[in-house]
Amino acid sequence: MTKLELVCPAGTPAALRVAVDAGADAVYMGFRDETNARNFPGLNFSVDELAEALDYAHAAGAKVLLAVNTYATAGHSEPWTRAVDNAARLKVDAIIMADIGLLEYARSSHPGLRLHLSVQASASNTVAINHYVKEFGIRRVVLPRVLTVPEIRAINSRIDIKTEVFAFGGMCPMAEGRCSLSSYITGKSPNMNGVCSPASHVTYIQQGQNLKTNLAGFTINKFGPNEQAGYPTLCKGRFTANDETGYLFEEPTSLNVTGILLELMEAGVSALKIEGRQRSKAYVREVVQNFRVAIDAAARGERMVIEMDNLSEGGQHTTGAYSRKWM
Amino acid sequence: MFPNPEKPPANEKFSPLLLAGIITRSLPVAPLNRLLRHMARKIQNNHPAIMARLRPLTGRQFLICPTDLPHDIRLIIGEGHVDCMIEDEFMGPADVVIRGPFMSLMDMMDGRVDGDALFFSRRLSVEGDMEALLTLRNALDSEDIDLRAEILSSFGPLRRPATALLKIGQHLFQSLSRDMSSLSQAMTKPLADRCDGLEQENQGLRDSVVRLDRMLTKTQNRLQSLTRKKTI
Repeated sequence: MTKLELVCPAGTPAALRVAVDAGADAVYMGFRDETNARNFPGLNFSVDELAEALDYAHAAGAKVLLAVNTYATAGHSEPWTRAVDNAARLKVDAIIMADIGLLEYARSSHPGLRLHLSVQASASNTVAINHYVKEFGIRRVVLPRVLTVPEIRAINSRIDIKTEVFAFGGMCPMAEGRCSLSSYITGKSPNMNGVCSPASHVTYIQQGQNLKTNLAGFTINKFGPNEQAGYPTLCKGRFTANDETGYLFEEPTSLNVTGILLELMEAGVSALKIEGRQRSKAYVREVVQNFRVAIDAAARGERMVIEMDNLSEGGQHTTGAYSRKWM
Repeated sequence: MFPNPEKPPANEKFSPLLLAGIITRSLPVAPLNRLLRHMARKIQNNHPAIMARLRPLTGRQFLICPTDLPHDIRLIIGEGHVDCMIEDEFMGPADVVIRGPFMSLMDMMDGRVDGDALFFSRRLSVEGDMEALLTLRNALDSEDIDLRAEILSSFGPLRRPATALLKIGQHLFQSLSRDMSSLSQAMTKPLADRCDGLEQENQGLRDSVVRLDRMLTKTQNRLQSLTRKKTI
């Protein structure tokens, strides 16, 4: 079993430096536009900042992966092709993509560019993954957060490329790349616009000691005094139906796989992805430092559970579908 | 736009800052304003990349309310510059209001603690234009700003004695925090014990209501069944 590669988020140049200094093997980021799935205001990198990031990371022996992982708008693909061209020119270590048109563009225009398949492509079976390998020459696939560890093991036994799985952060319970919940009420989509629950549609209302969270005018949750809060995402909303109030899809919680690293290694996983380009550098520092310790321990065959619930939505964590028991 | 919130009665923990707040409430604001203006200028000059990220916020106003201090701080994003001052009653409404303990706000701006984590734990509350807030947060987080160092640099030739004084102050603050926390716990323990007792009693009553409700449903079902049999 090979040691797991630690792939860390960077929403800003400062977060990149923090991630590299804290022990990241690779850092991923996006340009400051709709070409990536974390298109939040004030976040992400200019072309010049990416060039500086590459120098900093490479000097420390870390790789830089660029996410160009939203779907190009029909008749307006120029920002996406420009992002691919800039990635190739600056010699990023890999580009993370989902759109088959862009994958074809990258393959034909820049044959030397290493391609990773984004989770946004939602490739969750060997037929789909092998199709991307055959047609576009992808070298790594980021698996959706809907698979169990045995399912990941089965996939790894039937493909010839490396797999990366989500390890910590936002616990998206939907099939990535296919979720329309956010766009249903805000008109903006994580898949097309790079935003789930865009900040422009979010309202927090303090009612005494209670907190009400609204998205596009709809109440998503009400938190009592001192109750741990979460983001106003529809999939983690608390709704009332037939006089009963509860979480319909998922309660506010974050993914954390520090406790199952040995199982993931045994299942043939090559890399762990920390979610959270939209989070602060303080988050990046703490999570990367802890995962560095946990991964090094796992390489020695030791299991180390590190909770980090202080950084988790709702103040709690889960191993999500990896340890799914309901099917 | 959010109206200037009245400073709520202090509901923060019994802490040295709360005590300091009470003592400094009547101090003149002019020197504080000079310090804030100096800090804003220093950050602008030392971190020009931040100003590029703040450009979409031109004209936006943020009200930062440390819940354990008597003064609030108004941040105004201008074209290519940022103004920072103590809030006064004649200022108009702000676009965003941020409330939290002073040390948490400082640590968040310094990049020592995660703002989302403070929000999850309810130590930080935010209201108003969330897109503007997110832009500000991301812009400040994009550079390495050491607020303590920026404050100390404003002391000019007195920087070294001020640094030494800050170290002593931090040490005193930490030990005072521990002492006051112990004192606070000792004072509130009888009340906390009583609350725990009432909560247990309350839970018992809630369980009884649930049991009675189930029994009532069963009895109603039984009655309906008997009525149907009688009708047949």
